[in-house]
Order: sequence, then C-alpha cells, then structure tokens
Amino acid sequence: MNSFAEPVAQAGRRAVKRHVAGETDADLVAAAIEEVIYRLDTRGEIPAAVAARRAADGGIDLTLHLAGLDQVAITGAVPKAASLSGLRCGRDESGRWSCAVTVDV
Amino acid sequence: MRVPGIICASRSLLPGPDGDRSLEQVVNVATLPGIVEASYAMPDMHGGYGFPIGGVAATDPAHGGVVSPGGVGFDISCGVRLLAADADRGDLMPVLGQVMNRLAAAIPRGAGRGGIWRLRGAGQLRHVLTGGARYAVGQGHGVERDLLRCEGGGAVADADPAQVSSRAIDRGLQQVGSLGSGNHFLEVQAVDEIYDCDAARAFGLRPEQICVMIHCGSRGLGHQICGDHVRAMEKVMARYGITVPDRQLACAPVGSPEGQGYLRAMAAAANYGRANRQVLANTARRVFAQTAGGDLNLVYDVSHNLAKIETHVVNGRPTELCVHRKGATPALPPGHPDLPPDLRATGQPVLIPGSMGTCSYVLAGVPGGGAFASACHGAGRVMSRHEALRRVNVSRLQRWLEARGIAVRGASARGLAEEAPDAYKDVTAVVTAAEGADLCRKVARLVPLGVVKGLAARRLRPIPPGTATGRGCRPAPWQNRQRWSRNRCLPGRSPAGTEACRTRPTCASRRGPIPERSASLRPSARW
Repeated sequence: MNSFAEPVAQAGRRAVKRHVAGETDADLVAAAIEEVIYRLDTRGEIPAAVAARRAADGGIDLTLHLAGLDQVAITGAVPKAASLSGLRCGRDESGRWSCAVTVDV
Repeated sequence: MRVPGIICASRSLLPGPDGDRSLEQVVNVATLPGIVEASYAMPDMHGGYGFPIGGVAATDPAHGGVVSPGGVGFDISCGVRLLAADADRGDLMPVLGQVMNRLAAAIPRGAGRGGIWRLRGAGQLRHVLTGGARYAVGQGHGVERDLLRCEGGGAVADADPAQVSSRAIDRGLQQVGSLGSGNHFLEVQAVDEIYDCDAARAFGLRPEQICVMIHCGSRGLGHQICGDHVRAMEKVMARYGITVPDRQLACAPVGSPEGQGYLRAMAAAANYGRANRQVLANTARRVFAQTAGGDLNLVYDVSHNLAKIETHVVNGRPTELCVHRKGATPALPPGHPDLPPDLRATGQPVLIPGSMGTCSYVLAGVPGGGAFASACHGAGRVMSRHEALRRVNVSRLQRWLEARGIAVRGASARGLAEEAPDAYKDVTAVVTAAEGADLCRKVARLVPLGVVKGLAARRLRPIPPGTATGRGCRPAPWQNRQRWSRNRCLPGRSPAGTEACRTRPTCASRRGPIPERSASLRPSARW
C-alpha cells in the first residue's frame, strides 16, 4: 500500500470482512490483492490494515480496515491488477519462505 | 520455439545483461500454438507479463492458432489520441498557464472512482461497451468528424457485454472519462518539426501548431477483463493440450468458446477505452474553447494494446490471422482499405508518446510494413518504478523541467521520479530504429509545453504558469549518464544466451537471414 499511498492510521477505521478463494497459496495472495483493488476502484476505499485468516474451505477470510480515498494522500501509480507471471508463495529448495507478486499499475 | 524471435532494434536499445526478461519473453511467445512467421519485438520492447511489451505475435486460427489475453495486456485498448488546435505556439503561450490549470481541474485522474461521464447505470455502460466512441459522440461527447479519425470508426465490432463479468462492470461504471495513473497523461504540445509535408497536411498538422495528446486506456474494466479471462483460459488449457512457459501466457484456440469469449469481452473493453479517450478529448476541447478561444480537431486515435483478426500474406498466401499487439501500434500501409479515405494515400497514423518532458512523434505506415504492419508504441521503460525511485533526484528533475518551461500538473514527487525520462529509452532512438527497420516513417515531431499526469498532486513545488517554451527534446542532465547506461547489449550475455544485437537498426526478416543459435533456454531457438 505504501507504494502508492501514505500510511493511514488503523484506529477507528471501518472493518469489512471478505472471503477470497484460490487453488494455491500464491493464487490466494493474488486474490487478496485483487479484492483490495476492486474496493479501491468501486468504493474509493483503501485498507489501513489487513488481517488474514485461513478459512475452512482452504480460502482466506480477510478483515479490511478501510479508509476513504479522501482521507489518504495518493503518492504513486495506483494498482490495477495482480499478474500471474512470476507469482509465487511458499518455501524454496533451501527451505526459505518467500512470496512474490507483481502488481500492474 | 515454433518460429524465430525477431527483435527490431538497434544495439543500444536492447536490454542489457542485467536487464529485464523481455528477450526470454520473446522466446516464450514463439512457443504459442499456431504462431506464424515470428515472435516480433519492437524497438521499445521491455519486460511485460507473459508477452513482452512491444511484442507482436500472429496466430493462424485455421491451424490451431490461439488467442492469449496476455498478448494484449491488462490495459486493453490502451492507446493514444492526438488533437490539433487551430492555434499556434505563439498564440497559446500567453494563456498556457491558465489552460494547464483548467485542464488539471477538468480531467479526473489518479485513484478510484470519478469519470467525467456519469452513466445512468449498467444498462448505459453496456451501450458504451458495444458502441465505443460512436456511442459517446451520439450522447454529445464529441462531433461526427471525430469518428472518421478513430481507428475502426470509433468502435470494435463483435463486442459482447455478456462476456464481461459483474466485477468488471462495477469497476467500469464510474471511470468513463478519467485518465488513471502511472504513465497515462494528457499533454499540450507544439509541432516542432515536419518530416513528411504531404502526410502532415493530410493528418492536419503544420509547424508550430498546438496539439493535445492523450494516453490512456480502459481503466479498471479492462484490467478486470484481462484477469478474468487469463484465469478462465488457464483452467481449460489442458483440455486443448496446451502448455505455456508462463502463467500469464494462458491461451485458448481462437475458435474455442473461451477464445471467442475473450475476443468479445476484449472488444467491449476496447470500446470502453475509445469512449474514455473520446470523453477526455471533448473535455480538453471545451477547456481550449473557454481559455484559448479555439477548437481542437482530431488527428487520430489508435490503440496499441489489442488483438485483431486481420488478413496478411503468409508464405505467399493471404491468411486470416489473430494479430496480438501489446505495446505495438498498427501501422497499415498506404492504400489499405481499412484506412479512412482522406488518409489512404499516406498510410495509417502512428502516434508515439515520448516520456515526460521529451518529444513525441507522429509516424505513418509504409508499403510492405513488417511485423504484420506494426510499429513501436512509445519510449519503453528501462528502469522499474522502484529503481527509478532510488535513482532519480526529483528536485533536479523538476528544475530540468522548469528550465525547459514544461508545466507539469498533477504529479507527486514519487510520480515524477517513476516517470522520469531516464526511466525510459530515448524515444528518438526508438523511432529511428523503427524507421530503419522499415516499419514506419516519420511525419512530425512534437515537443511538450505542459503535461497533466495521472497522479495526485502533493509535495510538489508549483511551477509558475505561463513560462513554458517547449524545449523538451534534449538529453536530461540531472543524472550521470555513465552510471545509468543500461541499454548496452554485451554480445553473448543476453538473457537467452544469444547474440541478438544488431549494430544498425534493422528487422532481421527484411535484411538477411536469422543467425542460427543454440539458445540455452530453448533448444530450438533460432535467434
């Protein structure tokens, strides 16, 4: 979020719960980002903070603490989509966990 | 690889050894089922998702050819619109500051909702998706003459809103007539040099004339459609026996339900993009009428992110192909029947925006134009946004812009850094290479006077209005060129382990045989 907006204080923000699905952990990361982008485009809201919890169906339940765009200073190019190119989430051969997702603007 | 990869570029425009993945992506595209002739890349090529940006690939639907949403890109029908004023540079200079301020106030940009055209609901959006600029003009956002100068008359046929998801509809409802952010802009320019007088006259351009260039696309709706259809195709590729080396290259046969579904949704997004530019252009026209007292006439509107069914000669036979252009501009040759009558003798106008503060070009298609009648689309990034942020000294850049009298509106400090000219290739070198490869010819060069960027304005020292002179096509001195030289191509060290460099601008298919190579990534690589 810091790549395009100044940090917003979480306190007092409206919390919204959303469920996202995906076949892999990497797909879930992309789906979560897409959900944030969707709210940004359609509601004019961005999350000051996000909490994620694994759901029983394998998806994740997101809690988005939302701020209106009118309360935020936009400082950079706005995200529009999460690419599947190079998307990964998990442990590599050395056992180190990492996650990479490229966001189109 | 099923076909060779052909890079139309000079040595200096190729990615360096530490550069992006664009060369590897050219190789990957060459593996797509049904691809014919070559996987092409334009001189402004740089890394994209799946396809390189600046990539051109045509597939033959009659022989298993596929369509790939990644071959069009997220911003479907992103393109450029150029308008010419009935005023010259000298006429505008006294009121330029006022014009820029009014444009900045009238053009929605940046994050979230807020287009100029407040649609009545999803029903009216569906008219936009099928009618494009034609519907916008019918609703009062322009004049009939505009449509004569829009690629395809302002609308793409076969658009089907039923193939557009509800999320895409939601995202598109409130963004018709908005610039977006990133590299999108509205720029006031002046014609600085004419190279082809006859073509310039046909296009409606003359020396010193004021122009307005708009670069934007289909906003959130186009991005959502791309993402939706990539995922849908990924699920069915196995059914068609297709595997791809990059998930964003997901594809389906052109004639399959998935392929047709994407093409019809893509056409809907293309119409949205054209309506979007139409509304923005009409707003700029109104601002000019109110502040400068003149009119703006459309020179041309063309998309550089699109897949189209076109007929080209392959192996001596006219063949119907699905031509993907991602960051590549169609450049139909003179005499082509798809051109409007008043432009048929000149060839298709090709609009090439430069990076912020540098010049832009108007080109035209040439007889026998290679790469399925395609040309470059802009300068092409050489630096990621993060890298630009680390390297660009924003204060010096701002002073450089000020010294050249280029008025910038609506750019944050971060946005300025991300869009700094040195984050891009030299657009003049790109155009020279495209011309040298016989893809197009130069018609005119435009220099910037003022730019409205698609970002929010914060923490930016205001530039005094009315100081612009448009000296924008000079090398940028705000950094050490040596330190930044990323375009050098070291033979034998390109990402695919090949020597893809050429010492002079050329297009391999037109100037000689393709050298045989054993690329380390693909055993059958031929470049």
